[in-house]
Amino acid sequence: MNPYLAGIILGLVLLLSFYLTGRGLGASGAMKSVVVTTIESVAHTKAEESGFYAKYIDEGEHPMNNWLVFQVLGVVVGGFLSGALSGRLSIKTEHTPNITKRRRIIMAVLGGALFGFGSQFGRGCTSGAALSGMATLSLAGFVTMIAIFGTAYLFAYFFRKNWI
Amino acid sequence: MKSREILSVFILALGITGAMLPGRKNDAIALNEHELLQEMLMESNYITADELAHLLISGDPSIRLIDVRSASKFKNPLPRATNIPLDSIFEDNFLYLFDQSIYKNVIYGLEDQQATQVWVITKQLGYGNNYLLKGGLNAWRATILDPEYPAQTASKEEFDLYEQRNAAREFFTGAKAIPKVEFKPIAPIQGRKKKKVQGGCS
Amino acid sequence: MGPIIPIYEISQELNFLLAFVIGIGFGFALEQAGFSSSRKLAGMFYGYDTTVLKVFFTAAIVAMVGILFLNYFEMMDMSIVYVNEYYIDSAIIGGVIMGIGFIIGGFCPGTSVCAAAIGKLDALAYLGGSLIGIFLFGETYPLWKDIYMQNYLGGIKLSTTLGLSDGLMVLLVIVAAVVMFWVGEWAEKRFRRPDITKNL
Repeated sequence: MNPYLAGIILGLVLLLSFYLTGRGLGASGAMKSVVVTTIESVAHTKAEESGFYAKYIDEGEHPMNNWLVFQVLGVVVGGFLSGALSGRLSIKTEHTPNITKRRRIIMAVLGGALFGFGSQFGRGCTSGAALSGMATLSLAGFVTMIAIFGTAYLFAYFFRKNWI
Repeated sequence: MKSREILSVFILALGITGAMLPGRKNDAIALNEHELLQEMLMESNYITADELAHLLISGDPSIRLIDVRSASKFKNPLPRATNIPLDSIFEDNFLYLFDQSIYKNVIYGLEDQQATQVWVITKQLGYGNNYLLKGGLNAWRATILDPEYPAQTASKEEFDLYEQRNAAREFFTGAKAIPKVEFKPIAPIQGRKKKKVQGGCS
Repeated sequence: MGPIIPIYEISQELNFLLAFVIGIGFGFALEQAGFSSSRKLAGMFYGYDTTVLKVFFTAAIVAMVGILFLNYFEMMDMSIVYVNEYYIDSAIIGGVIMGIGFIIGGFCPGTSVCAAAIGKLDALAYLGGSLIGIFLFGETYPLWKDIYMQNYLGGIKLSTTLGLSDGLMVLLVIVAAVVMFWVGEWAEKRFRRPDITKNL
């Protein structure tokens, strides 16, 4: 699809989210719910004592009972539908011929871990902080967006072998 | 035309239109000057020293005292008061103390001024269950800790009030213990329901 | 008047159902934009494919303009809408870490969910990695707590900081985006990698 058209659709979805619920889109928040749920079921007292996890469990509600969790479940379905429509459903690992499949998976785990860590530090990821933040003109959104993309550009040279 | 050019022209036109629109404040929870003045004149937002003394003596667990004097001036507070100086509310994220429906917060300073500032902030944010101690700590000291003996010509009610205050003084200064009154906590009234959405990924 | 759910106090269940529906739209738009491919996403940083830039800024501008007009016509109460809270230090440090994660992993959390949904194994690995990262942050939280909470400025807007009206701010972002779209398309020609883009 034309990227601008896709952008307009994404923007309308984001606007609809604001109009209906007063909040934007997000992704990393749902993953945190998964982590908090796991910690809580494995080590309940530890989760209650930790300053970080306790914030998300003390309201007496199950951490998976969360707006973002349902939204991300929707992303799975929406992504699958779109992939099915465009004939892009296939099990594969995407990587350049320069690197092995194993290396790509290791890099993905490593990158994911950094991004997950950073998303907690920065209170949101590209969707929750940068995109939704920019839509409300929030300073945090612009700063996070510049920090993410600026750093990625700075470090792009060192990781070029992985991509081109 | 290429899609980029069509889009560019379109969003630039929208942007210029948007930039030319006069700014508009569209705040439904924030009170305007008139509403705020009305709220400030409403007696139900205040609690007098006598009422507070009664509630404290009866051991009402739903009362939470919030002292907004700066930390350096935080001396001789009311029993079990929390010190939250005005400037630390935003700095240390103490706002959550005011946005709740479990306690009745009684906000006070030495006088009315600082406490009123905090109270106005909570009102503007749409939080409920926040009250002001009328006259602040000075009024508390004058009426409860150092009640004035009524004139000889005063009515019986005034003498009764003096008796009560004297009893309260003894309770708070430990002069003589008085029996605790059995008290049933009243569920606090729900404040304005409309409040800011919690969002983001954190 | 919007936002509908907080104002009319619509039930939690319906709210979650709407979240699911909005999520479907989100996932569909991301996948249609081609964000399910890490090499397409990474292309933005090497210039051979600037789809990310185009989609990201078009989406942000559509929502921005929409919110501006909805607010102007009193169809949306901006005082209730969530504006991200700004903690200077943590936003920058978090952003930098996310930036490095982005160039190493090739996804961001939203796009990785989307890519995993169509069967990309690297996206699944990325998802697992991000759970580990969040877990690590939770475990080491006491170390970062001070920095995490430092320099809180509240939910402030860029327009307020710069002393501009919201409308003018939106126009400036639009002008910047139009320039970036132009640079992006120029870069796509300059750094063209037909061997990569034709597979995507």
